[in-house]
Amino acid sequence: MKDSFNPSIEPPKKTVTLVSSDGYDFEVEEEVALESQVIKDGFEDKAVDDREYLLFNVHSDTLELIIKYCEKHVSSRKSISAAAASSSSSNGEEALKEWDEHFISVDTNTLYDILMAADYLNIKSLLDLAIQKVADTIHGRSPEQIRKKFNIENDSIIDPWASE
Amino acid sequence: MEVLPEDLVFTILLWLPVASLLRFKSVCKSWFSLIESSPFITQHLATLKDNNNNDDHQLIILDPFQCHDTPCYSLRFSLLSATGTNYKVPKVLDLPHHFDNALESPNIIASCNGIICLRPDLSENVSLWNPALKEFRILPEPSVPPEELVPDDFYFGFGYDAITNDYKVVKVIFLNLMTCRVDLYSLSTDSWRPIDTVVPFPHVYSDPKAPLRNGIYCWLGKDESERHAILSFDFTTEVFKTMTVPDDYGVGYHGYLKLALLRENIACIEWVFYSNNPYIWHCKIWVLNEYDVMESWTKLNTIELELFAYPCAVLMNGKIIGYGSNGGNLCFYDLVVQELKYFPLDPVSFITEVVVYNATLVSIKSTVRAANKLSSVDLMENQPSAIDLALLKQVLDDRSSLVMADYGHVDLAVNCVKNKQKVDK
Repeated sequence: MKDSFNPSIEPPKKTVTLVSSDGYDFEVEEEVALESQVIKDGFEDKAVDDREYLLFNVHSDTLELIIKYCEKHVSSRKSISAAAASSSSSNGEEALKEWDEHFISVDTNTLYDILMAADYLNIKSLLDLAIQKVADTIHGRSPEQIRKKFNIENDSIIDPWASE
Repeated sequence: MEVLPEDLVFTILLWLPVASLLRFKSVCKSWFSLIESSPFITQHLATLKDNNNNDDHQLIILDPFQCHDTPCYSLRFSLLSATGTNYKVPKVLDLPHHFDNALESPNIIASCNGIICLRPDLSENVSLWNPALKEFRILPEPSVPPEELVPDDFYFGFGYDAITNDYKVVKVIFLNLMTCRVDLYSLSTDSWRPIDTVVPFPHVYSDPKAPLRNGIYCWLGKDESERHAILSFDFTTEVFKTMTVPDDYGVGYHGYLKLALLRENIACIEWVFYSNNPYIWHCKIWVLNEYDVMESWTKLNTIELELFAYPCAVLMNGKIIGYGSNGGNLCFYDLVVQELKYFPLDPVSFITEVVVYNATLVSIKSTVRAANKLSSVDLMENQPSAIDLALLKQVLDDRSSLVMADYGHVDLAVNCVKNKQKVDK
């Protein structure tokens, strides 16, 4: 699917600056940043020329991914509603689902980083996507594997069978 | 390896299926108490509903048959899982021992939030069953005055009261056409109490085997003037209500009518066949789009189905279930996909019942905490380590609560205590 923006007919984009925990600046369009409920909640109170957010908990590597996700979702929503308005058939939602699935197929550490960032920034759809992914990867595991995965100490009372 | 914060881990747990959660109870103490806690159970149920796109679902099929050489019934409860119209090979559920050598086959009264409410055919003892937790509970009998022991007719409903977070069974008993009595069972008190009310329907002939939006049970019957009408009971307000059916089915109408739920609405379904082709059933569906608003009855298309006999169930997700024209094989017609397909099942008997089911953690033993804890021994796959000795002793002293644990937990518990004592020495 093609992201159909035509910058020439759009008004100039307002942007905000997101600063990652390791000090990198990311300039993103306002509507992309507003995908985060946390940014949205405090948005109106901030002066227009002071739209900079220090994200102490999000590393630049993760922030880059989060921005990619939000940009994709903002543009997809537009093309889906445009397709609906012109009543042309669109498999936009289907395609977005596929894109999401591909996006979230990452290694465990990256997945955890995305999960924690989505939680911190309160991006509901991304949080759900990441949680579902983790749930899918652990639902068949044994309790021992789970302890290892989440670094949990086995504090169950001494197993009577084991000590015989 | 990074470690996730605890609150996120708990959120992830909410998204896991029941079978995984039962296994993960033995991960550590905090997971054990979390998964057993009532807020978690309620939230898990809500998450299941939020995330369900209606495509993934499970059915429980009860297929009883009488054995050849004994008077006993053999009961088979099959669990069928599906995405859309693709059903996997069924899993046969473990039965509570209560049904070993059953002399009568139970009926399914209703299915709600993972709990199946059952009634044996001849006796009036109702039972509740959560197959995922392997919990089974026989309800006490309502205390009925002796002159009321031979009722003319009686019927049941089962549902959830969201306000008090309680499961309730309603029983309507008619001693004769004029005299009726209504008893209500509540799981939280484990007792029946009479409700002072008059029910206008001495007989009902169809009900959807599931409460509407979990909290309202509906039956199709005839009122005093012999008109088909719907009776409903709200488990929160504990009030009965009657509603009319579409005008098509007025006085003197003699077709087959069935009450069903479609999505979250009441539906009235008429079945007709013509003598020139008895296997083609014409099915006319009316949906009540707004509860208790008679103007909102809306007629859907009429469908034709080639079935061997009267359809046996209509499910909430728009599947009509019946016996295929080749005999006893169970098939379904999906109203959305508009296609008749067979279940991956062997032929079933003609008293088969089908209900929609979702595995949940909702415990039906919550009023008897000790028995509840004990049952978890069994579920933890031979890892009784999380159960401490004091609790087991307490449970073993309390024989009455053990009666309710109908899955052979007693032996397991005794063994566990013996082993534990060995270790202590």
